[in-house]
Amino acid sequence: MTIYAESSFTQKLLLLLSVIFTFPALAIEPLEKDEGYVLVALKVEQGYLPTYVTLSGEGWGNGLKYDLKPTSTNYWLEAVEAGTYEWDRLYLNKDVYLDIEDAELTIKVEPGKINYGGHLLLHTTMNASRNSLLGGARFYFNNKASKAMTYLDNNFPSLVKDYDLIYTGEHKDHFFDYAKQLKGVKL
Amino acid sequence: MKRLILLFVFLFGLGNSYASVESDFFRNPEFVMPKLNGNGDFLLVKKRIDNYNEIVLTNLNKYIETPVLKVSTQSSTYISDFEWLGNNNFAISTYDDINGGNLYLYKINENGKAKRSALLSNTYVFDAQITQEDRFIAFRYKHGKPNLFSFDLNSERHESQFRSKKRITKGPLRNGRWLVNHSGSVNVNYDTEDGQTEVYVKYPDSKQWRQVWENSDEIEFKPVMFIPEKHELLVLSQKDEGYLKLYSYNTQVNEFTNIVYQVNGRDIANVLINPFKPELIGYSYIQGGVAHHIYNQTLSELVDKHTKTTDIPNGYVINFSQDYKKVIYINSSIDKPSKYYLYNQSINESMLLGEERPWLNKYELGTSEVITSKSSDGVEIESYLTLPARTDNKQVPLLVMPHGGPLGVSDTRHFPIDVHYFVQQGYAVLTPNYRGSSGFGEKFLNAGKKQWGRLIEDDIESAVAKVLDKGVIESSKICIFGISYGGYSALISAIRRPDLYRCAISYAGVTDIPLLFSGGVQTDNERHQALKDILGDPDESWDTLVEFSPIYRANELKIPIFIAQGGRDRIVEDEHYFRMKYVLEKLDKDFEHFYMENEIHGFKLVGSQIELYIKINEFIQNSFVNQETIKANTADE
Repeated sequence: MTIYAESSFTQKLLLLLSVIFTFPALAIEPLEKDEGYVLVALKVEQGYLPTYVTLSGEGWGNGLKYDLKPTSTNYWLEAVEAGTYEWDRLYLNKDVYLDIEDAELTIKVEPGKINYGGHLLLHTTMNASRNSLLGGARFYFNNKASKAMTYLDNNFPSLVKDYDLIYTGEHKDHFFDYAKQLKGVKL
Repeated sequence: MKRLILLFVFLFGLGNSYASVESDFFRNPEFVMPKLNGNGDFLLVKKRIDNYNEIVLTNLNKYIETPVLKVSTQSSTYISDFEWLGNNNFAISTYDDINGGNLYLYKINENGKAKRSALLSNTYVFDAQITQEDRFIAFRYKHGKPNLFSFDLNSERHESQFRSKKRITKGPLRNGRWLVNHSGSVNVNYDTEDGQTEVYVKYPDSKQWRQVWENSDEIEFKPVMFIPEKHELLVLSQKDEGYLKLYSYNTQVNEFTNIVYQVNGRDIANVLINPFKPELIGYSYIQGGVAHHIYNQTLSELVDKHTKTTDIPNGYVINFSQDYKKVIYINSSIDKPSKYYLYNQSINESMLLGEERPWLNKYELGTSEVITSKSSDGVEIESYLTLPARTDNKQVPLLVMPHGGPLGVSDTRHFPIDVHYFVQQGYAVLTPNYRGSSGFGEKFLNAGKKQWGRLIEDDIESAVAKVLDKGVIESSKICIFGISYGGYSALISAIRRPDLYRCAISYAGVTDIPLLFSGGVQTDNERHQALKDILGDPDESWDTLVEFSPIYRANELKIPIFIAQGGRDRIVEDEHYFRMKYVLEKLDKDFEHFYMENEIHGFKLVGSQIELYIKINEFIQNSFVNQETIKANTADE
């Protein structure tokens, strides 16, 4: 296997760093009855990085709110009540937000499982620094299951072993089942 | 020290000359698609000058060139089109992935200088209305719906012309397609939904739309031009014998009356309409990988005169002045880059206006031939084999390059640049028009449906077998490389025939067929139906879709694989690439990968293309070397 755009020195450095800074498995609260894990993913492909995002849940007070780290892709994994969650708003600052509720981008959380509904990909060409929206924004909600899988493998390896990981989009997807079989072969 | 300098010079020189083949073949053409205005006194052309693509205006009476708009070749914006809107107005369309399309309008003043008159965002020219000086038909989406507007070029109020009430597309099929006549009125409205095609026409003296066709999608019925005074709708249809022909359809009695244009055993590719008046001037079709243009008497006489003045065959007309005194030709000959000529009838002379890629004249370019093979079920397959100019009577390696699609696309022999790049590197290149390719009739097109990894690849392998019979190919050095569907085909072929291929390169290739359904969560119904028609219904044939997906059979891969992808590909999402990479890593397979975060489906930037093709060529060469090493080691044992 070859990785381009990385000199041998860089590769050695990366190897050294990976030894020093091996991914520590992240901790997560255990599931209660009628709860499932939701994996929420947002990638800013271009433009403004939101400060926080919200998803609405079923019933009052069941919404989700996540702060963004300054990286192009943010993941959040949380134990939540089973049900349907819908992407709601992307806050560019305290007052200015993109309302994407009408797009009906949902994640259906089944109890006792890790639920992935897709990556929200965002392009903005706007200036929100003066509380105004200039330019425009485009977004896509796409199935990037292999990236979700890699994130979980790196950060929550034992959770992936213990729980079924499912894709909750409208159309069936075979990847998680297959990836699990592959691990069975390799481990 | 001297040795060190010599080594440096050698390495630098080697690297430089090595890269120059790629930069010569993949750099943008320097002269593209010149267009005359109606009077024949001005010419617009897209040129590449240094690191810019420019639209240049030429005053043909004074031979003065003026640059109008230039865009850096490194910019994310590119010039997508340009055209005349009458004699003194023209439009340039630009596009970028973020902001979409912009339309720049220009007016030529009394001094012959072009001045920008408007910049319209998210607007396209639908119909140039070249005989009208003051208006053209503009296309713009409003509230997610397509609309046409008659845009007044003399008005200083631009945006107000796009108010909803000013749209001219007021017909029974609001979101359907439209035809506009030479006076700028919409007179045909048609659409296909849920397999039903409806067509309406509007007579000039009537406010009513009249339905003239309603039928299932099985018979294609594509309106081309409506001539109300004759009650005649010209329609492309494949209703007889399964080939696209141009028919005359009577709109009084709603019946086909006669065939206007047809070609034996081939589809009509294009119907040519005079931009200055409502008359047909010819048609084109593809045969043997070459475009053939058949013109009416006036134009064919002019083509003959041009051919005599230049002694260059295979020329075809791009555009002409209203009085036919000046005509622009392209000598789109096979196996050579295009050249453009201006024929001036008044003095019976042709002048070379420009060449697309003059820097390739220094190369000995390959030559192509037609290969006909019989597939596993007896279906005849037409392919093109391009051989290096010099083989010194030695067998050469073969690169098989199936095209994308797979439906409704076909390869030709009109100087495909990637084919000729690989031929220059010493490979023979085979481009098969497998079932599903366009131009070969409806039956052949539909035969490609639900045949991913099956009969389509049988077709490709039949072409390879036919080429091997010629004895010019080194049979132990065959690789397969494709983009999009071609990338899928490369991977599934590697699984099917490791005995035939030594390596496979998948560029923006589909790796997981069910992901085509589940990839975009907001899949619209129309796209979903089209996918079901092409691939099969996942609810009914899930196991088959999985079975013919390369990632789920990656454990069967035995030959080296190269995968490449752009991160902003919205046609084949990068998830296909990452899934394949994930699986190949888990299975510890021999593979290389190349990812460009900001690239799209078929890399846009010349630098990305050059880098990619250098890597692919190296990968193929290494695969052959490794093969020889294995062979030698086996012989030693």
